[in-house]
Amino acid sequence: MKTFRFLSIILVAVFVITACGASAPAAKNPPLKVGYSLWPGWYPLIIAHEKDFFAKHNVEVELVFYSTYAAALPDFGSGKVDGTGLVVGDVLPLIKDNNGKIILVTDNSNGADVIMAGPEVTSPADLRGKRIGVGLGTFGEVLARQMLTANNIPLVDVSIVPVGPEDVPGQLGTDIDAGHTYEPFSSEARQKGYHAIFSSTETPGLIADVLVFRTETLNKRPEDVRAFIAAWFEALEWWQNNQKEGNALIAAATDQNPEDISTDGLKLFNQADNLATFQQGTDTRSIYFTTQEYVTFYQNTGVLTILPDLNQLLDASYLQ
Amino acid sequence: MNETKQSTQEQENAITRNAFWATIALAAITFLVSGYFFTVLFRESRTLVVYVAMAVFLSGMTMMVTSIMFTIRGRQETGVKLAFYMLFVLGVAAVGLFQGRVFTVAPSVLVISIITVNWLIPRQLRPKYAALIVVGTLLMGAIEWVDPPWRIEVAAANAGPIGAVIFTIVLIVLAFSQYRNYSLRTKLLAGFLLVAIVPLGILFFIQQRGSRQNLTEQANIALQGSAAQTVEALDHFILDGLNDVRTAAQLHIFEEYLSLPASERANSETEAVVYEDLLSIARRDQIYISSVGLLDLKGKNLADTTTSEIGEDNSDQLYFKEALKTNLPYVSPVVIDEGVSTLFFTAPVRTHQGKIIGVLRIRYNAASLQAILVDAAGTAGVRDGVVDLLDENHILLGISDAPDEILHTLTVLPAEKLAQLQAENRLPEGPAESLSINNTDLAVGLNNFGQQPIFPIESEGEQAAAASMQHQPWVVVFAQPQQDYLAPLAEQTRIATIVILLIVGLVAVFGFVVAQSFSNPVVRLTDVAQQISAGDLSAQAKVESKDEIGTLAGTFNIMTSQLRELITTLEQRVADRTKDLEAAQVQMARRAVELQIVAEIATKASQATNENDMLQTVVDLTKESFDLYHAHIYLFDETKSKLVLAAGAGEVGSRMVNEKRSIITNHPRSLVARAARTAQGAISNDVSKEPDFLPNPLLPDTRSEMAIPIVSGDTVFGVLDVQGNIVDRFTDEDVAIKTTLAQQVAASLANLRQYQISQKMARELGVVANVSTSTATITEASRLLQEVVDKTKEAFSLYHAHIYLLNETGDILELAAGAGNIGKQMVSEGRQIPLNSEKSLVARAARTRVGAVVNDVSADPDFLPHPLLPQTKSEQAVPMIVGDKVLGVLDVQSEQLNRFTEIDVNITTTLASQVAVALQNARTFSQAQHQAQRESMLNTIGQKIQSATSVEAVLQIAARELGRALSAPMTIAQLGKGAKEHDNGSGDAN
Repeated sequence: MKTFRFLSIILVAVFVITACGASAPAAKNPPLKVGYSLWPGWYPLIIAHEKDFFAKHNVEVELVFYSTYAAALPDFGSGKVDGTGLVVGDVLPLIKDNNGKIILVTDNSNGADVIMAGPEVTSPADLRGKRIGVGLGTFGEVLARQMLTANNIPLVDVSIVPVGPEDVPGQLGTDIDAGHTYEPFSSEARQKGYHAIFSSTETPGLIADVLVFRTETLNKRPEDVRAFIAAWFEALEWWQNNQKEGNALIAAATDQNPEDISTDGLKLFNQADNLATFQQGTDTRSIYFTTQEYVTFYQNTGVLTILPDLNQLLDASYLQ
Repeated sequence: MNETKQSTQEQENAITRNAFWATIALAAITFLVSGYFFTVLFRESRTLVVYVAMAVFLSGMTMMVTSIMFTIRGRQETGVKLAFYMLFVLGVAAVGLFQGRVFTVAPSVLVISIITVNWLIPRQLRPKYAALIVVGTLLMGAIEWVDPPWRIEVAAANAGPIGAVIFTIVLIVLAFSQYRNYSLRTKLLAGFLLVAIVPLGILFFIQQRGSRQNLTEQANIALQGSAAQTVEALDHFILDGLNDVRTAAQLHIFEEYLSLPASERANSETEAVVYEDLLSIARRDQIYISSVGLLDLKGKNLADTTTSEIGEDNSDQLYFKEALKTNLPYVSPVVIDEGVSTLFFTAPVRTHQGKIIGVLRIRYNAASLQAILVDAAGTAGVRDGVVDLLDENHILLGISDAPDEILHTLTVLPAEKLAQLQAENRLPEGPAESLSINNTDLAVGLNNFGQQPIFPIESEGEQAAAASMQHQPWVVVFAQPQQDYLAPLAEQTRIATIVILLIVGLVAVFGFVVAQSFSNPVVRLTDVAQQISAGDLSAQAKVESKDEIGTLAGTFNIMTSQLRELITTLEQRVADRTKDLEAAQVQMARRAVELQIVAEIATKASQATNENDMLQTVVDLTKESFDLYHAHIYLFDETKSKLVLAAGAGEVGSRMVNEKRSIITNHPRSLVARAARTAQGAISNDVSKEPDFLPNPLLPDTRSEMAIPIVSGDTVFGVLDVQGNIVDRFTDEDVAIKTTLAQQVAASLANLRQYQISQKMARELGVVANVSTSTATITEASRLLQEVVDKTKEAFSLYHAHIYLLNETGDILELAAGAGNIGKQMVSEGRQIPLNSEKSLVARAARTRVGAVVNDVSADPDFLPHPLLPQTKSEQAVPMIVGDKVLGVLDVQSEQLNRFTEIDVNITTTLASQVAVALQNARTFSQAQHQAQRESMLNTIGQKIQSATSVEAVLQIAARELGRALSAPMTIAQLGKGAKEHDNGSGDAN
């Protein structure tokens, strides 16, 4: 009996102390910072945030909105965000020493990315000697080059001007004659009388939009990332089932008109699509193939110094 | 008994006191935990859940105060219940409102509640409360399982160590306050643990200190190295940038372009090439180089990869002026340009003659610095390392773990300085406070880092190393949370804790064993002592060792056995005594009965008028009443020389009496004789063992015998002899009883004998009177005496009686009368005894004037047998006295021995006196007759004389007459003078 009392006092001591002290599960994690810019493929982030799917999956996510697509790059590179939405090609020059991984394919651009031009340019062939505005070194440049190649226009016959897709509607006709952009900027350009002379429908699978996360974050918080992706898929499904309501949410969050929100021209990738695309393949249905296309492109354009290891870069392990 | 009661009372008081404090403690702990959660919640951002939680814990605190109040007011049970229920409410609330608390909260609540139920809840309520515990625990588990979405994460305060210290102190105080109550074992164990833990603790503390120093030194070195590495990387970046801009500025096309007249530049071939080249330069780092531009000497942007920049005037920019001024590539401080923190690398563009004609500007996103810092932090090999990059104004240019803090100041800047920096675009707009991260420790450390490159940042719990950059007036601070590099210490502590626990466990086990070996014997000894004190005297202490305790146990056992013996013998004695008492009681009862019997026998005996009847009654009744084999009575004969069987019970007794059995008084071995001799009862309880026992053929079954003297006063009459037909029939008790009986018998016997004597005396006195009466009228002496002796002999049934008379001269006793013919013959023989005859009984009686008795003449050497009286066995002689004159002696003789007693002497003396008086009377009568005759004779003589006429005749006549009268043969008359008295004849005759 005495022994029992003694032991019980010790037990109480231990439990009370642990209850007060060691109870917090390590240090509290800051929210996952995920960047995005205006691109319909990444709107599920907004849905997930607005509909509390992240909270539901027990992960705190802070969305970081970039008004220009390119702004996400240095921030991700300098670790200011844990992850961000990018086009697969843009990830390649960004990654150094395996400090980031592509863990999700959000969508494939299937006509959403366009090259807009003025009335004087009716086809890509008319671009010779003209200035084409693209995000320097970004997928926009890749798309433009694909267009040039497809139309047998040598690069030297055009001038590449670094203009982000956001600025294309504004700079068309003054600084540039054509430029790569997408919604909602493409609509803006159309309203100004410009038209598309080339779109991603002609490069199926090439413009694959992905979510890239910093390796450090992945290593430290794999469960949070899995939860994040689960919330992503749930948001995506919800949005597809509740288009109107979802669009309204997105419009409100991004200060657009609900009717301007559209997923036309892009194929959103659900979990099944992701699992499918994260397989080795011989066409752009495989993200490996697509990424390799970019690698080849960058090699050819002299951007790459070191070949990336795609097996390290692409990581499907967070999809499930 | 009283003491036990008191100690029970004390125990109850102790229990109540303990319950009181335990309840207070329970409520206090619950209060503290509630308070702790409440304060933690205070720091959380206010949400509904937080408000609810705060309300719950606040009410918890209130309830616990109420519980304590209840307890203090004497309603401890209400206090316990309140605390118990609140404990579960708080537990469920903690699990339901906070994430990740179930593993600490649930067991705590579980353990506390179990203890509470075990200690403080009355036994009959325990099942109910146990059920509550189960329900509460299941509820907490269920909540955790459901994982409700509203649950929030609450940061833990560092309350653990404080709690531990407080708890330890409470525990120690409790332990010491209770020390007196601990068992020997607990004390020993505590002692062992103390001895084991204190040195271990001290060693552990010393080692911890040493390790801490080592780890800190190592961490310092690592931090310094990392800081240096980061500085190198940054310097490298800056230097590369400078080199790049310097070499790019040497591209011929720029000289060519700038040399063109302004009007020719636009849309020229050269311009196209310039753009190509600018793009190429930009491609060097597509991510961080945001633009590359070419400025003329006026600072105007002529061509830029960012078209919106073209045409802008940058002449007032530092990077422009400095490049021109120093004629060297230049790197700007980090400035905010169009909302982006930016770093400008510029280099003068020269003609081949060396003349500066413009400036090449590469605009870097300052995030590149951050990227370098993040890389450095990640690769430095310093766990959880944090790298800060600060400029000369202590503006954070990069911070690896908190990018939001970039372009913030360490401390709140003075307004003037702030305004200046904001004007220089080195700080964003905003008040000084919002731009500060308020890290004074780091600011102070940086101010002194020239002397002290390593310093702690106390507020962050970090250790920091600072290093200056070469190519910028910037400082890199590499910091690491102290707990990170002290992690080995924690690990060490963990291991040490395990080791200490292990040692404590081992010591506890060892101590327990030793304590057991010490205390167990003592405990067992105590148990045994308690058993003994409880009355179990058979309890034995086990002697387990040869040490003091063993000795104690041994001694104890001896003591116990002595005690046991004492008590056992006491018991035996009490039993014996009881038995004795019972026996005595039985004996008393028996005695009473026997005394009753004795009384009855005595009564019956006393009613007997005859000695033989009386004795017969006694023996018969004795035999019958006492259920004896036989009883008889021996009486002394007259001479007490032998004991004659006087009465015997039953026929056998009668026959033996008839046989005239007797025992010589001096018989050495006779039980009866001995009893008679010693006047003490004698027992022979096994006659067969008496060597000299003479079996009586008439009493063949005699096995034991008891002889009781029949004593009254000093007189032993005889012996009551009883016999049993079993061995050991008689006890001392029997002796006493029979002695009483014998005494009664003796009394009866004495009475009877007295009565016989009285009867005899009366009868004899009657005889005396008769003799006196019948002889009193006899005036003739000889006839009188004859009559007396005859009648005396006849009346007293004597052998012989005769009377001697003292002669006139008084010197000879002459036989005057004798009874019967023998007497007459003897009288005729003229027997005489001289008065002075020494041997004569008769003479002696006459001389001494006292009656003399010889009861056995044969034994009297002086006795002179008389041939005429051959049967004489005893003789009595009494003097016959009148006045003081002895007339003679009455002598009587008997043919019986011991015929004469004192009474006989008295009676005979009386008779003799009567006879003497009668004799005197007879003599006086005869003398008077004689005198009368003489006087008449004298008268006659006188007359004759008177008739005589002569003197001679007168004389003649006188002489003749006188001679006749005096029967004198010759009478001489002589005349003389004088003699006139005539009283005494003889005298006269003289």
